[in-house]
Amino acid sequence: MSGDAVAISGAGCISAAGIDLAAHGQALAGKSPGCVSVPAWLFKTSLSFPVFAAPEDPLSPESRQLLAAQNVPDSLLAELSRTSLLIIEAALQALTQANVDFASLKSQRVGICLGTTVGCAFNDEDYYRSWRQGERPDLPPVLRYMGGNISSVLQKVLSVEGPVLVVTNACASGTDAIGIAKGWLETDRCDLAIAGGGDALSRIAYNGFASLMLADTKPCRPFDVSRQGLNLGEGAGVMILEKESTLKQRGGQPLGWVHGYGTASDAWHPTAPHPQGRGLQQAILHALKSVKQGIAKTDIALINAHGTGTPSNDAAETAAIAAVFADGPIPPFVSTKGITGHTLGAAGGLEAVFTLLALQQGITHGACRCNTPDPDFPCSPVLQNEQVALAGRMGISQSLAFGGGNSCLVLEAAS
Amino acid sequence: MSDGVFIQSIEIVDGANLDSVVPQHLLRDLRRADDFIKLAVVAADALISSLPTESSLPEDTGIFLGTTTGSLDTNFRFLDTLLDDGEGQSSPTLFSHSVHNSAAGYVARLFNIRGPALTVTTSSWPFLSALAEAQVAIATGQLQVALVLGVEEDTPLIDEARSRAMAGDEQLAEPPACRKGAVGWLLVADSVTGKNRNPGLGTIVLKERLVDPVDYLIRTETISSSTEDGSAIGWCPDALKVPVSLSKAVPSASGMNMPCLEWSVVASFGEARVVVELDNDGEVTP
Repeated sequence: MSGDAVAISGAGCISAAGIDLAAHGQALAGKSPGCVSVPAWLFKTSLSFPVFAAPEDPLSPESRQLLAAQNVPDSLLAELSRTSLLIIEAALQALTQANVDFASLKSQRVGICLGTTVGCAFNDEDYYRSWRQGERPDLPPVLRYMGGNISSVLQKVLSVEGPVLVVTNACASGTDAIGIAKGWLETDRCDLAIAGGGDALSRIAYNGFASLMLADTKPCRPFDVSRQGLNLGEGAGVMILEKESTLKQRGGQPLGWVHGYGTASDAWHPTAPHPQGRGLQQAILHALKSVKQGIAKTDIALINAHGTGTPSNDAAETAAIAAVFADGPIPPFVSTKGITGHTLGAAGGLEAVFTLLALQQGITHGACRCNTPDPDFPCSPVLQNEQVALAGRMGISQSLAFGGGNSCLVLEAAS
Repeated sequence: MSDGVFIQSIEIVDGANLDSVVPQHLLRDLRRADDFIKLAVVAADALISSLPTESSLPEDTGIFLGTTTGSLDTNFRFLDTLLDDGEGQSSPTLFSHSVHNSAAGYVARLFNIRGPALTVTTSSWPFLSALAEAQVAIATGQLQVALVLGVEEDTPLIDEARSRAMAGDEQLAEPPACRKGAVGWLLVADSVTGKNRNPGLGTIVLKERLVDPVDYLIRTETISSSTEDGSAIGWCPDALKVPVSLSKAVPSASGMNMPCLEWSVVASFGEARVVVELDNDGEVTP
């Protein structure tokens, strides 16, 4: 295993909070567009749960130019799922920020590890409706699905070689993908890794969360006493990871580092978290323990919590944070889902980027629409109208998931 | 930091008559589960049963599940409720079970496994990817035990589309019967098992570079022979042919007292290779 630190050399993101990294930085400071009724161009619904929608065309003009320069035909892009397009946009932003020469990528082992949920399900309702009525619809929707593995798609678009994997661990997928990619670099399975998560809104998931009575008809209010559920969102968040020595050899400087990763199961319930967040406690402790240079709990200056706004998630998460940090000060913690919605498989990728941005800024703004924290919680987040100067440059980004999954990254921002 | 990875046992579950192979002690827990979940749980139960009776799973036990499409049939059953019953009336149970990692979640809950529970998918051989992640997790000391599962479930919609795509759009083929199955490997760290372990199969060590854009090459320094090519499996879904072939090759080679098995699969998109040092004399080869 390599002793090299795993450096973050680039980051990219797209969501309802904005079309790029700068917009997401501004969104953290309270300048976010918010949620809307489901746009008709996404899907039609009779339900009234608002969503956080990314731009109708996920690809920026700059990204389209980059793709054209790489001889990626428009016909290929037209065949891709919305989730794939969101991922491509975030990945191209990240590669550009990392100042990666696209031609040089072809001579490297480029690992691609991405998380998704909607992106690996068959969502073409028209095809299914026709098929179950005995018709034989045109095949492209099925062929698109069978060939639509988002990591393989990105590999094809970039014309690179190396390990590819899609993590489909529900809402922790993006966090796990970054943690796995970190391991690939440490065990020398690739030279550079593209890691994160992406998911597009779909009517199927929208109805699924409605059926579970986990969605709110109003804008979500994570950690607030009045919270009644989540709002779904969509987007992608991607990081470029490299061994620090490799990055410095090519003249690059790290934006930060992925120092630790931990994951653990609740072994409790198919959809609800353990009330005390026992799996999350273990995930945080494993992540802290995995930091090679060692870390004290007091080094953690910020926690970007999962904070969905469902009663059970926020209660379990505050219980876990209070338990893990019981022997010292509890770090300031926030949820950013008030500005992106719950983006499912993208959440871990987007929130790792948010965590890095806040650590770079040295300040955290309060959790959007959390004005009165639930008095039953053992600890309180930073409130909407508060700002807290961070006491360090290391932080945690954590995710919880259906199936009882809990995952945690320890990140550090460069000075 | 570095540890050998011992194959304690390998199980194959034929999903053709799934309800008849669900153990009595799991019937109640699986009463609401779909077939995809049942396959994973039955395979996991068989693996855990292979441990010495005095052994229990250590805290550092993880689950690694690879699948190409997840529980697609449940995805369609949820869609049925949405299309037939309308918005706001669809089934919450079917939705939660349609999520790819629901099976790993069931395994974690029913066997009280509190380590990682990772579900991965690739467009080719997701079981091999799951196997590689599990193998590294043990070899680098992160875990002591790993249940590695490959679960696949063909669905009529995909089968029918595949049939049409291969035959030409003008031919309306009858959808074949749905096929499903699972494989499971129980991996343990050599340092945990020592000489008190059950008779097992051998040791795998990830040492090599990636051989193709898609999959891992898993091999040791010693290569002595090769066996099955993955072509003679009758009952299983296409996506399970590769893991079933490998899962049959290892005990077969062990039974023939071969010191080492080299197994490989080649497809249009690449090649994957697995090399197992077989533990025929009861001693782990370093």
